Amino acid sequence: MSQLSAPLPGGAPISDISYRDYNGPLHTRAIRWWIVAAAGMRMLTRRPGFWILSALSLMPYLSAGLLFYFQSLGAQLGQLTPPYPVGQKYAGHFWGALEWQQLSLFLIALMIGAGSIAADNRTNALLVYLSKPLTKGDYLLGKWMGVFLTLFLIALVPALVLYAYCLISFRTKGFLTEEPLLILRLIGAAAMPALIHASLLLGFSAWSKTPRLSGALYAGIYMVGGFVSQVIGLIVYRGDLSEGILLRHMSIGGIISGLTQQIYGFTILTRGFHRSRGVEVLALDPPVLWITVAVAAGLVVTGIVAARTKIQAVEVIRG
Amino acid sequence: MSVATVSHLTVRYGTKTAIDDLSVEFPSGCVGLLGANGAGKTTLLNTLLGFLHPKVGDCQVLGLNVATDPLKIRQRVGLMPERDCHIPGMNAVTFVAYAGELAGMPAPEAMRRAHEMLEYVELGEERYRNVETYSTGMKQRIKLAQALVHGPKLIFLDEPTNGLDPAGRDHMLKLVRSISHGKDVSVIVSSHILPDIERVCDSVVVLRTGRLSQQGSVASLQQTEGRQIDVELRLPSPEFLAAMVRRGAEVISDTGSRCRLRLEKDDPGREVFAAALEARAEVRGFKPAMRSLEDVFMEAAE
Repeated sequence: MSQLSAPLPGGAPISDISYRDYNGPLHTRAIRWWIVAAAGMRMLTRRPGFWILSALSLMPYLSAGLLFYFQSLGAQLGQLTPPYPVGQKYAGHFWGALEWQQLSLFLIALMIGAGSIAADNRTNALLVYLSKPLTKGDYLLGKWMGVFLTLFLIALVPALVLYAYCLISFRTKGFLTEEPLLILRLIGAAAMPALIHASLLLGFSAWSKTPRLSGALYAGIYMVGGFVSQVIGLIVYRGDLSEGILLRHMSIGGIISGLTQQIYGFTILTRGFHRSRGVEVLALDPPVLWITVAVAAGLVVTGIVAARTKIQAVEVIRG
Repeated sequence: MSVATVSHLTVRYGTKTAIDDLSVEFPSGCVGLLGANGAGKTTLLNTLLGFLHPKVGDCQVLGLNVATDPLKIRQRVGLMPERDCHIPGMNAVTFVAYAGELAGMPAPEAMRRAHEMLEYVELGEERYRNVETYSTGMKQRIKLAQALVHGPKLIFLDEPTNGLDPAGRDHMLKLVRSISHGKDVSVIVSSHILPDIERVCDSVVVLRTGRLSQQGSVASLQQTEGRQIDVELRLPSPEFLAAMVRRGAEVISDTGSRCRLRLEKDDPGREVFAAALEARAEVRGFKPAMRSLEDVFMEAAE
């Protein structure tokens, strides 16, 4: 009988199920937030809804790419492409695609963010996390990065693909010389929805034990806030779109939209109707920069502080 | 050698004092933490893990200060909480491996160790099931597996047999006994179930309204004051008791044919048989009296 086939005394090592100490390697604590973030993203990829929404979020950039393609063939697409001035042509299309992508980004944000902490609250998972060598900050950073990176990548990757297409196709037609900072602008703009959704959703999620409830609450505030700010803006300025730009941006979606427009640094040209002037091309500047940035920073900080306040291994009720 | 030391610890929740100037040392091995509801057991465990930050007192765990080194402590300590807890959406092996990764283990090591731990707690066959579908007993065992995965030197078990049927309880106690003996791992078990503590622990700490009530090895706490003996007769016999009293014995308890007597003499057996002969009673057996942990607990709670 060969050495290999001879039975081992006491059975093979695989059958040893007694407790053994662990003296193997350990990672430094610095990357532990990444373990939390990666686990969140890994679980998300198992949900078919995520892939469907991600595919939907590609559509705006695909449409913009097709538009560029047909334009390059000399097609007349006047109704579809407003007459952006030199230096804003590509930025306008990228911003338009990101704007169109907002809805799918919002839905994906709800899918990953609403339950990120609420589900842990429901199953007392915080006891598991915080009984390990992990701080509240590590946990929160991990959860935040899980949501932020997912949204950021979903917004960024199609924009980069479109950028690469434009670079290959239109480099000789002034793509790089007319808008040299476009690559930086699209990276910055892709980060804005991710930043605001991740921060606010974590705040909502940390205060709930029901993912659906925190998601519904956030969705309600997002939708109602957007609707109310638009309606108030139109009422106050009697339907004149060129007025009350800041007021119409005072909602979560509005702030994201205003920030991305600031980052792309362009003026929206759209057709509007005025009672005395009739149909006209309107130039809509982005809302005031410092107010938009201050409101966005306020939303981000509020969300993170709200989440951090609520994250505790044990709930302490003071008598 | 002590695995945890608490000096003059006071923990308050607002105006309520949960732990009041507590000083205690937990020796290595398996230590039971006893106390009535609200005695401060869970508060003490939470403080030792660094979840609570008391303003007064000092705690050391495995030689590390809880106030300054909570993360180093949690690297060396495992917690099996009283409440159900798991990461939603994960199966057992992913959950335990994830717990290992959170403790710093590289992913392949954590996965290998998770399989080992699940085999150890006898959940190997169920390792790919979602934890949310587990029975109470299985949830208790997976909590133990996640507490053990990173190889802690000290484990806190908070009510480990809660909600278990007799077979599950027996299995859990065997696991606790196995971990805490000969594995270089110390265990602190907080429980209300005194027979469980009696079965697995070498020593106990009894808390009462946030203060130390009693502490010592199970054997020493079970010893009775003075020289006490339990006598079992075939039939109840007041004459036997009277004869023993004449010989200088004090009757501690008398429950039918069984009685507990205190007798400060070198050879109590001789006195028992002499009294039985005199009272024409039939002695079935006698032994040095031992208190149950329940007696110790009730005394401490009074």
